[in-house]
Amino acid sequence: MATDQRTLPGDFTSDAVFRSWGSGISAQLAAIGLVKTADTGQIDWTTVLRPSGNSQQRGYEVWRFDDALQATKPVFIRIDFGSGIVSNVPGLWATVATSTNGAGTLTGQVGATRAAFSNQATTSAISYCSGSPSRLNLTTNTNLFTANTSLTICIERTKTSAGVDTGDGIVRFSNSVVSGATTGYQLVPFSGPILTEATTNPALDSNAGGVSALGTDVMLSPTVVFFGKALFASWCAYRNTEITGLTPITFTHLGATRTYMPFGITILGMTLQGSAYALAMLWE
Amino acid sequence: MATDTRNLPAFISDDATFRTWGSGIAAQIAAMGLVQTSDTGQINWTTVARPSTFAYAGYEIWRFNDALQATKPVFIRLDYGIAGVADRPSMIARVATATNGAGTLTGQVGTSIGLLPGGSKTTGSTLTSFCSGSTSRLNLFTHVDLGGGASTWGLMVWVERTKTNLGVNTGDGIATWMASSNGVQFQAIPFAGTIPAVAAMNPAITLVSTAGAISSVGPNVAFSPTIVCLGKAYFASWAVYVDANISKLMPISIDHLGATHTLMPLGDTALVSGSMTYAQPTSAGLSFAILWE
Repeated sequence: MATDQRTLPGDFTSDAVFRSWGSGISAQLAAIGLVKTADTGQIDWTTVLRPSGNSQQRGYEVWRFDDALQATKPVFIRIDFGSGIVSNVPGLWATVATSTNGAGTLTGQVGATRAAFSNQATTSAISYCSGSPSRLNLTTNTNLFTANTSLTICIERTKTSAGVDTGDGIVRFSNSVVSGATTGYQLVPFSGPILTEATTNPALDSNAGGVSALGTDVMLSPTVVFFGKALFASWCAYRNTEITGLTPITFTHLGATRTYMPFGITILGMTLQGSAYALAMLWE
Repeated sequence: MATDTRNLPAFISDDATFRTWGSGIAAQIAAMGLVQTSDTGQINWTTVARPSTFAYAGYEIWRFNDALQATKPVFIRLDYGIAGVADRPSMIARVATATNGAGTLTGQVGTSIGLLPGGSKTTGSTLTSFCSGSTSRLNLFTHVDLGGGASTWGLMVWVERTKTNLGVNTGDGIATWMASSNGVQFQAIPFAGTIPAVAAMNPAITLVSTAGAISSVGPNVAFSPTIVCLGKAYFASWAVYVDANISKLMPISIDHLGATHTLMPLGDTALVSGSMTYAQPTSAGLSFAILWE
């Protein structure tokens, strides 16, 4: 498992800036242990031009997991790079599937493509990436004081309550604040029907009949993935005001003591209801 | 742990049927292992008269009888009465951590709720009363029409200690769920500190497909546990499932809260809609399963 935090540009004032942004994200994916496939037609960061309009894709990369399960339960991720709500701000599109045709088209069990758009330009923003050969948790273009810029893409295998990867399915969560590119949650099983993408993350509003903070305890609501049984994803939700944002915390979750990054106001709306819940992302 | 199923009067036509109805519920609670307190002024089932509409004839106070009761006491007050129509029974349920010995709950006191059916049966008819529990749990589902129609029938009084994910009782709080056609409420009552406001929904994650859940895969059917939030996640024994996935009222054994347990799927006897939600944020097509042991 690895983390990678770096500053990347968030205002495409030139082709060079766009290349710096996208190639930076690409480097983060490599740093956490994912493997870029040999699919043809992938974006060339030395020659690609910046977007000329809003919501414009300029090219893609295809990545895959690299764990023991990949041989029998393969996971492929296509990331399209481009612009957000206007031409000079970042936009990402994420799609997961169980195979690829070798030319950038995902095949097999294919999930929905979900966009995440920045809503405003920022000269520089922080890109947080954590993961492993079987997990990608990316929150990029993060401005510490607003949710307007962050783009989040979390993709991983379903997990048991002890945090052990299972071969049941792939869970994908995406988030940004731009209308039409807000929260998207989808379970892509390795066989059987794929449900339409949901617009909420399956975590509980802990203040409905209960209380999220009691004494020194603060509750983090797990993301529960139902697939004929209860499985889990690593990311959690918590009441934004109860934990200091962007300072890693350690707590017991999914069977072990783990380090998480609470994102505070930069990513809200993480539960089935209620808007004051922020993302806590596995940070290891 | 125990279960008790019996038929009780559904049409309260006179004093005798009122007594039979209320004393039957009291007998079920006693059969679980709860203990009626010595609070003064409690209802006398041999002499009580059927009250008028919108009135209550008396109350009982029950308490848990487990090892934790000495330090983390749980008291349940049930008021027995008549709803807005003379033949319909009604109860008020409330939970607290102490009593003054004369029927007034004290300490950490939960929110009361009136429980009543939304319709009348006919003279002489009965409805089923399901009860399961232990010395530290009461899951009463009474006035149940086995044919369904939960938006009209069925009164739920579920009270138990918070549990770990292994089903072990903790002294952190009391999980309460009360429901009938008159409304639903969930409330977690901690033994100290501010009591959260009631919620008109059960804190379980929905299993509906529009929320991205695949509730059944091959022979597997998912149950969504009730998660009690008190600064951290605890559990209650009842769970939510997709009604269409399991036959109703046929006890099943599932792995739940760290062990194989028998649960009673309530099916359309507990299937409601609208604002009565059994899961966040919506529960269309969902039902409850209660621990049946």
